Amino acid sequence: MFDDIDPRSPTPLYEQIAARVRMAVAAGELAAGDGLPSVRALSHTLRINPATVVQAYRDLALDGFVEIRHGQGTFVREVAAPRRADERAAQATELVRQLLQSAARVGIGVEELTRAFRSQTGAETRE
Amino acid sequence: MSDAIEITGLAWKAGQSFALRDITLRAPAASIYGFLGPNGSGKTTTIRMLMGMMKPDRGNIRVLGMGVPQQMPQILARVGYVPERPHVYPALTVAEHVRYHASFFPRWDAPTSRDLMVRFGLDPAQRISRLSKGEAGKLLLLLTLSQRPDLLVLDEPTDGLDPVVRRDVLSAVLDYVGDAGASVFISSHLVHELERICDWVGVLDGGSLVAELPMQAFKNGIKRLRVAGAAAGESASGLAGDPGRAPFTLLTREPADAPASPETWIVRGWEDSMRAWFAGVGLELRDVVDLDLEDGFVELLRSSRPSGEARS
Amino acid sequence: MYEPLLFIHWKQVRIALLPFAVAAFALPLLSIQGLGAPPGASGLALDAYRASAALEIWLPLYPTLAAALGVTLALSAWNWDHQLKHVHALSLPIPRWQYVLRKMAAGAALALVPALALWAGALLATASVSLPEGLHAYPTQLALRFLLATLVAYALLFALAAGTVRTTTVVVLGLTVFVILVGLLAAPLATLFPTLDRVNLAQWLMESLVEAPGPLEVFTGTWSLIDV
Repeated sequence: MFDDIDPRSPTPLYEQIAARVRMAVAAGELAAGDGLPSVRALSHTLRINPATVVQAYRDLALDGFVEIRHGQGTFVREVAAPRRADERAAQATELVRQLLQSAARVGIGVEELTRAFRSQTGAETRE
Repeated sequence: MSDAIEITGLAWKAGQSFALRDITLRAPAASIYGFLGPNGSGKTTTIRMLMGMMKPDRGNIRVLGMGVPQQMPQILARVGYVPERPHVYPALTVAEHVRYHASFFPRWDAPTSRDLMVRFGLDPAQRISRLSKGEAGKLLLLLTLSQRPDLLVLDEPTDGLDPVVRRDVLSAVLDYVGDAGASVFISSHLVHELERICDWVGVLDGGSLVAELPMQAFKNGIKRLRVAGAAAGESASGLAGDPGRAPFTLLTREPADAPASPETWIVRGWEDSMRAWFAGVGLELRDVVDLDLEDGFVELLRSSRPSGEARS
Repeated sequence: MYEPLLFIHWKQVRIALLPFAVAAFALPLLSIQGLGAPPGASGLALDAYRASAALEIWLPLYPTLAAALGVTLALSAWNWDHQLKHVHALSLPIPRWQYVLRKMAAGAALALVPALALWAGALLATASVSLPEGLHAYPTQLALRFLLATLVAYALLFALAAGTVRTTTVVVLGLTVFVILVGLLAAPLATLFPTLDRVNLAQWLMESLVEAPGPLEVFTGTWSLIDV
């Protein structure tokens, strides 16, 4: 699940991890009650500072996505549907923002993008 | 909790060429502090002074709240040190050296040492002189971690090791930090390695500490800007004019490739809110590009040296 | 009981210790070869003369062996640490003076090995010879003197061996220059101060060291196994 974590990205690692978990909950990949990897296990797998994982889990707990049970681990909480929808919307917005930024860098305008978008999505529904 | 390491005004001179100039450094408790710098910048010398093995000309050093060198034995009981070159007796076997080392540390944890022996694949009966570089590096770490220290001081622990061993070493360090909540002070010139694990970074170049800040701020704060409308030759502060000086630090300024193209500025200490400043001085900020840590590190070093100076 | 510094010193010196132990054991036995009551008992004086003449050849070997052993122990104490530039020793959580003291004690303990071998050889030599009347054997005193001489040599060189090659060279050169200077100044000083008894400082220094109660007396005293 955490394959995309990129230490070289300017986004802080703890934010990347937290964002990934939020998205997984929003998309239904993680259900309420599921356990997240332990701090030690995740820091070992990703080869990052355990403090980073701790911070990510804390942020998620503050946002209400997870519950930290001392001695037992970190577990996903029940997140209401509107909240999940908000999260999906935020993710979509972020993806579009990045796309627009990259496009602007090479001088591609919104109209060209829209045309490309239509052709791509049109092609998929036709298939 | 006191800082893991606190250095104030450290200075030292050796002959004409090499010096440490007024180094002031703080590694907070329970943090992983990356000590970056090119070869010859003075990292090892600073670390030796930290460990009480060399005497500075001036300056104050405190480790885990205790003074160096006044309380050296108490400090050494709680600090695990991996020096640049293996400091173990070549004629002993691995098991003999482990036993020797263990006898000096009251906090020695035999289960840890046994587990690491297996995990690192070390043969206890093997003579140390016959160990490969990677195995020797792992042995040093085994000795250090089995002491259960509160602070790990690692001087280029992965230098010259192959990628597999490097991972083994770093993951053992991270696991220990996770288990014991220890602080780590690790020096390296391998920027990418430290990028994923350090909370703080201190950059040493030519005997001076040119930057010390949280890793995140360092990564985020260095950007490549595409700026249009600037007259060639003017400095950033010159451009600021009346509204005030530039809020960021300009590290380098590259001229435009073509007349219509924007210039490239490499800046430090960037925040998004600074976009507004450009309009205020009649410039157009076309783009802000992220730099990864290695690029940022290189640009920082380049800018802190007099132009034209070559370094090995 | 595991004393790590004794272990380390033992590891460094154990191969060299063997020939010393063998030599220490053999010396008393070899030295009595010229002895033994002749078939027809001659006069007491002749036997005594023969005994002491036979032993005389071996006498200088004891202090030489003791000195060589002391030097070996001193050098081997610091050999490995020098190779590592003392980094490992400096990273240990004990005060430096404690490290040095424990190290010194370890070497002193190792000096016991050849001393015990000497004692065994001397006891064996004494037992296997029938002494003429008026002569006594001193195997224990001999062994003790040997141990003491070893320890003196070891102690004197221990500190030097710990230093860098540069420090050692400076000290040795300094001493040599001092001795030469004093020797050169002896004659002019004698003419300037004719009433002064001892103008040769170097000689005076040597004598005070070598004659009791000076520390080097242990080397120049009696090394006879068998004496009156």
